[in-house]
Amino acid sequence: MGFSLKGVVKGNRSLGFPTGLPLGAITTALYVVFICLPVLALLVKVVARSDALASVLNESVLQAIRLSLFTSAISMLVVVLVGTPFALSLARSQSRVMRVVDQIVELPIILPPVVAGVAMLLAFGRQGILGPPLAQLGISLPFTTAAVVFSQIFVAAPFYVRSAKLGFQAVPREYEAISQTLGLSPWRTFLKLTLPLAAPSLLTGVALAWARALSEFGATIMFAGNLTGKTQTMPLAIMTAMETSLESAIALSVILLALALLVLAALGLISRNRWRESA
Amino acid sequence: MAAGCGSGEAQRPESNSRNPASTEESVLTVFAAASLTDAFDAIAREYRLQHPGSEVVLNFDGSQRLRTQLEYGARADVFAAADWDQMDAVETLGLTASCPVNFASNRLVIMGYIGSGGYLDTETFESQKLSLPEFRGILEPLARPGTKIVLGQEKVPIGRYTEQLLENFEADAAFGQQLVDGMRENVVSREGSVRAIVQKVNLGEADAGVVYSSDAREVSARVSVLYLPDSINVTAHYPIAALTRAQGASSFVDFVLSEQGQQILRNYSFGPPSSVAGTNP
Repeated sequence: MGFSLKGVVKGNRSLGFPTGLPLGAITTALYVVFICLPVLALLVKVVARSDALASVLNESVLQAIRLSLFTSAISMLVVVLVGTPFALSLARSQSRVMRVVDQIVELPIILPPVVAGVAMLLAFGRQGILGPPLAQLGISLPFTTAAVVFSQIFVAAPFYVRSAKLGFQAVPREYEAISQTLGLSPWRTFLKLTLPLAAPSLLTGVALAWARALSEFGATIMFAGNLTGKTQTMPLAIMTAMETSLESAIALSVILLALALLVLAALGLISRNRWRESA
Repeated sequence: MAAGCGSGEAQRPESNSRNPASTEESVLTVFAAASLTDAFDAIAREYRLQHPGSEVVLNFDGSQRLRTQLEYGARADVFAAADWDQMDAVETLGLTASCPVNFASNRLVIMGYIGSGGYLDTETFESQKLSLPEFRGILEPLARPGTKIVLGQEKVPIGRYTEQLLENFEADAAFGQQLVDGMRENVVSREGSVRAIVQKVNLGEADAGVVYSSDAREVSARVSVLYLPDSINVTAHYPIAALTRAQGASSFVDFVLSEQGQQILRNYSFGPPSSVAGTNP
């Protein structure tokens, strides 16, 4: 084939490929078509039946939208508050224990969500490991809004922690050392130096995790169930609508898509402002 | 409901679709309601024994999901649904190749978790011979605040039958509105298929759920099954139809309707089919 790795690396500098084929253009086109076609198909279907969009906007759907935004916001708050210091210590620690922990972090990503839901039940459910002690405190988690948040945190947190860890690792430790020799406290060094430098990675992590939390379905229906206004988030509302008509399910899907894009756009905006501030 | 069936449409000439390829490599795809899972596994096993060389692929899910899949082009040779709404929808789209007929019936039961932590601590849960007031006494805990009840979604067969059952309770003076209101208050989740309800009660996370009597054999040791008096209960009718003219399709349907197929369904606690086709009680 005459396709040597050396050639690729060398060729990359000029952004062309040594095979003479516009490989970049071809793969880009393939990727974009593969990702965009299904999404486009959704939009076309909704535009064709725009009355469907209006007809699905009833009270229970508005409740699902509110619940999705509310629960995912709480989840993100918890993920950022707990995940940031955790990611920093993952990035900085050399201990063997932390290296093992590092492997566990991504476990929820490879776990099928329904399995995650069953696991949550077995751990936090009424008959689960923590069930009896929780019951003594008068707490029963399954089928509650809190269970929705639990499920979202479980599946979404790894995306934030992973991204944040990489962000912190990219901050040169010498900078921090210099900052501290200049008399800044470790706390101020973190706030004034480490955090701003890692900010793009943190925001990317929040965006990924938030999108994952918004779309969470499998763990939620197992652990939190499906009840309008209490545990029925948008993905569950979509599944429920699907039982009646695919058209209303599609309309709801487009609404969820718009919500997710809105969240991503908002985070993008914050991210750009942050850059300008620190520049 | 099965209007049009039996007249012209069903007797359409078969010549155009009888191509040799579809009959020789007979891989038969059967879409069946989730509640039929065990019974149809057994039926398919027996069918394969009697038709060597034939392959039966089973796809189980909520009937309404199977219907949606069929509407959007999924290919199947046989459809067995848990209610006529789903079968009628498929027939209306012209997807059936034979007239749907009832092949089994089912009743509703209430399954209740009686293990520790559950609210239903009564062992007397199992009886059909109680007077209605006594029976109401057994149901009382279901309306008590804090009891967790899991039902099917209203548009799913099990959920629709459950709604009818609750209406029967409401209409009967022995039970009354108050009891049903209390039970409705206690609903914590609406599931997409009967299997999901069985799971949640079996796990002890829900206290009670309304399922089919054919599911009763699936319950864990800590779950009791409450059989309902006939005067209150609802009958679920299961229709079946061939969707293609592949030889295997009609022979599979025939097998389900045969004495042997019916015996297997009986073994899995399904009732005999009602003679009236397409009735929505």
